[in-house]
Parts: sequence; C-alpha cells; structure tokens
Amino acid sequence: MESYFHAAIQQLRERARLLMIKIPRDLPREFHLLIQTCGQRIDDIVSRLDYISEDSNMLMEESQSVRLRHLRRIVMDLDTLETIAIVALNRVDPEEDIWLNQLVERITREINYPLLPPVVTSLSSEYFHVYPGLGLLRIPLVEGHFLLHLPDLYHELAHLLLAEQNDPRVKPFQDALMHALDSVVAHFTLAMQKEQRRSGPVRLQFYMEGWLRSWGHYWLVEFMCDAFATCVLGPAFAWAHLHLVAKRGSNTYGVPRGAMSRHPADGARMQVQLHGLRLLGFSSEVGEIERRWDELGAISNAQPDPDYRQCYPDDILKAVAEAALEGVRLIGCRVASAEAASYIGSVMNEAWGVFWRDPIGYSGWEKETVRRLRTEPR
Amino acid sequence: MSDTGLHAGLYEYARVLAELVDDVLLEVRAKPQETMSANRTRLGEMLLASTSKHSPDLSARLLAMTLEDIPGFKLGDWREVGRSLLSDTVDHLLVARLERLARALEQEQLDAASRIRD
Repeated sequence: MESYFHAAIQQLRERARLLMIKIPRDLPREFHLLIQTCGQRIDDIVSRLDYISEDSNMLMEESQSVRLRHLRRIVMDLDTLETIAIVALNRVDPEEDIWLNQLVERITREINYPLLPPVVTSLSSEYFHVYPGLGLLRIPLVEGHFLLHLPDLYHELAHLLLAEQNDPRVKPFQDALMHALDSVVAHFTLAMQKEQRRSGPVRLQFYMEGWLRSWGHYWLVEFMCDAFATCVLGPAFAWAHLHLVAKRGSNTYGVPRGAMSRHPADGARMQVQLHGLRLLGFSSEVGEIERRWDELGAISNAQPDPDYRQCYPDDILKAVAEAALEGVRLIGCRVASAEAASYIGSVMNEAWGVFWRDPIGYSGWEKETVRRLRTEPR
Repeated sequence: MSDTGLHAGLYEYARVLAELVDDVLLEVRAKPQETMSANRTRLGEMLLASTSKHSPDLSARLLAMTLEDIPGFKLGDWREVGRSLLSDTVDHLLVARLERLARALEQEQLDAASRIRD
C-alpha cells in the first residue's frame, strides 16, 4: 500500500493547496474569524500529511492501520473545510449574511454570552445547525426574513458553550451538564437494579441500557441547549419548538428500543422547556403553551408510548432544567424574566404574542418589524 | 472538566481519543521498552477513569459507553489495558486491544460528525 499512500497524500496536498487559494480575502470583517480558522486548519492538515508521509514510526509495516486512520481523519477534515466552511466564504450573500451576523452579534451582547459570536451563513440545507470546531452557524437562506424560528439561534449558541474545551468562563455550564448527567446515571442505574431484582421483563432492562446511552451520548446535550435557550430568551423558544414540531412533524413521544437514538422525543424537549419557564416565573405563558401543545397533540394523534415516562422521567427533565438555569446564572448570562427583556429577545417574544393575537395581521407586522431591525442603527 | 488532563470536550472526545490511541499504538510498537510517555499516561489514566463507576470526567464517561459497546470485551479488560499502559507491560494482547479500541473510536467519530449537525 506504500504506493497508494504516496499518491493519495500527494492528491491531498494538492487539494489543500487549492482550498487555501479558494479562501477569499476580501470579505467584510464579519467573516474574518472564519477566514483565519480555515487558513489555520489547512496549515494543520499539511503538517499532518507531512507526519504520515515522513515519520519513521508511521512508515513501519505494522503501523499502516494507524496511518490509514490518520489519512481518513485528514480526509474528513478537508471535506468539512471544503463543503462547509470554504464554500460558505465563497458564497457570501452580502445582504443576508451580514445582517444575520450582526443579529447574532447583537444577541450575544444582549445575553452577555461569554464567547465570541459564531460566524453565520445562510447556506444551510438542514435547518439550523452549528459546527463548533469551525465556529460556524448555518441557517436556511431566507430565515432572516422571518422571526418565528430565530429563537433556535439561542439553542445553537449553547452548543458552542458545551463544545469549548478549555475556557473557564463556560465551565460552570459544562459542570451543570455533568450534574444533570449524574442524575440521569443514578436514575437509570437504580431503575435497572430494581428491574433485575424483581425479575422484570428482560426487554425493559435492555431498553434502559439503550436509553442511558442515548441520554449520555446525545439527548442530554440537546436538552441542555434547549434549556439554555429557554433561560436566556423565555417563552419564544418553546413557541418556536411547537412551531417546528407542527410544521415538520415528529414522533413526539417515541421511545427507542435497543439501538441508541440521536434525537430525544419532542415531547420531552417541550417538558424541559416548560420546566425552565416555570423556574423563571412564566407561569401564565406555560399554561398557554401547554394548551396549544395539547391541541397540536390531539390533531396529530401524538400519544405517549407505554414506556415513554420510564425513558423520559419527569423529575429528570426537571433536574436538567434546574441544572441548566444554575449553569446559565453562573456563567453570567442574562436570564429572561417576565419583567425585563433584552431588545432582540423582546422582539422574538412579541412576535409570538402577535402571531396568536392577530394571525391575519401577523405577516404584515413581521415584515415591518424585520425591515426595521435590518435598517436601524446597531 | 477533566481530572486526567484530557479536555476532549463533548464534541471532539472521540476524535481526540482516537488520535491519542493511535499515537500510543505507534509508541508501543516502535518503542515497547520505553515505559512512560505523556501519551501512555494520559490514555492509561483515561481508561482507568472510564472503568470506574463515578468518574467526574465527561470524556471518561462517554468513553465508558463506547467501551461497553465493543463486543467481546468487558470493562475489566479495558481496566487491564489501562494498568498495562501505566506499567511496563507491553505485549501482543495490549496492542490487539488498542487496535480494537482505535477501530471503535473511528466509528464513533463518524457518528459524532453527524451529531453536531442537529
């Protein structure tokens, strides 16, 4: 395989060189951080290519499986740079992207977000999502013309807090996740022991093991990010969640059986958000959201699975909301309250108020509000 | 976040560990007589932390779940690997187990790559 490695590494070097040339240098300041990150990443990739082609240990016959895994990681990184980051830089939409970056920057200032804001691009084909390693947030092309889904920006900001590796400013929020994980592990360990003692159905013990892994690997992060968004924004985030579930549909109360699942049930996500809102004192809003949520559940025939409450125990969902609120406070982020709201936050909450009060007039109100936001001095 | 000095974080943990395991594999194959290196110590401690019940390190906990999912192995096997790395015991069994762990972590990275898109 030496000849393969030789040729493949040469190809990757050329790919890295071309990608470096493709990084535009004349973009507005909003993109400078991403430009810098891309350049550094490519430099790092070139160093790693040197390593797998020249290091004497790497060239030993018995090291070839290690060498192949290194090569694959390099390919994965180059793919991400090419298809996500550098393409975003090459297709900057001056009108949309600059406004979105300014909006997110403003949000981060308002909530006292402890990290630099991510770079935002309107190139997403998969709703909102963030690439922590790149500090890049992608949202759909025209989402910046609407308000109802923008609360999801706050959820994505939370992912960056959890992904940060060595920043003491965000550690309390990461510790909060650990505390919540303690509750999850303790709960399921006890539940599994109980099932074993009472010789309950083996299938339930098997499911519980899968649930615990899903909580640890995937769900808790999503719940924490939801809770963060709820804590700093307020009811608008829960409304946006309801809106997404209504529009896109989901298995609202589904429970995985056996395999790990990446996505927690939307019903459980809503419960975490409602617990968060209660902790913040939004009790009347909680009642209203619950009413609409139940109405949506009724017309979409969403029924809890028989194992739903064992998979998503309400006291654990509440513990997650409590831990997140504590973490949000400890990192110094501004917490939403019924009395005082940040400017962008109040616009997003007001949007949902108008949406329900005046469904016919909402569209015109939204258009005018977005126009005002996009043109007013920052 | 970490008691073992491995601040892999939530998102990059599989990636950072995979690189660490590969680095250790290179070391134990190339220089089996050299007992302590920073990489061996880190991985050894990480494996011991992940096989203890209440590690305060999230990466260790996530690694424990990965280890539990590797068929044909028990947590005790991985504890042995951790101990071997922290001693001067390098044999074929250790290398084979590290190879198996490296393959599992490679799969984990593929899963993690899609996870961050949520």
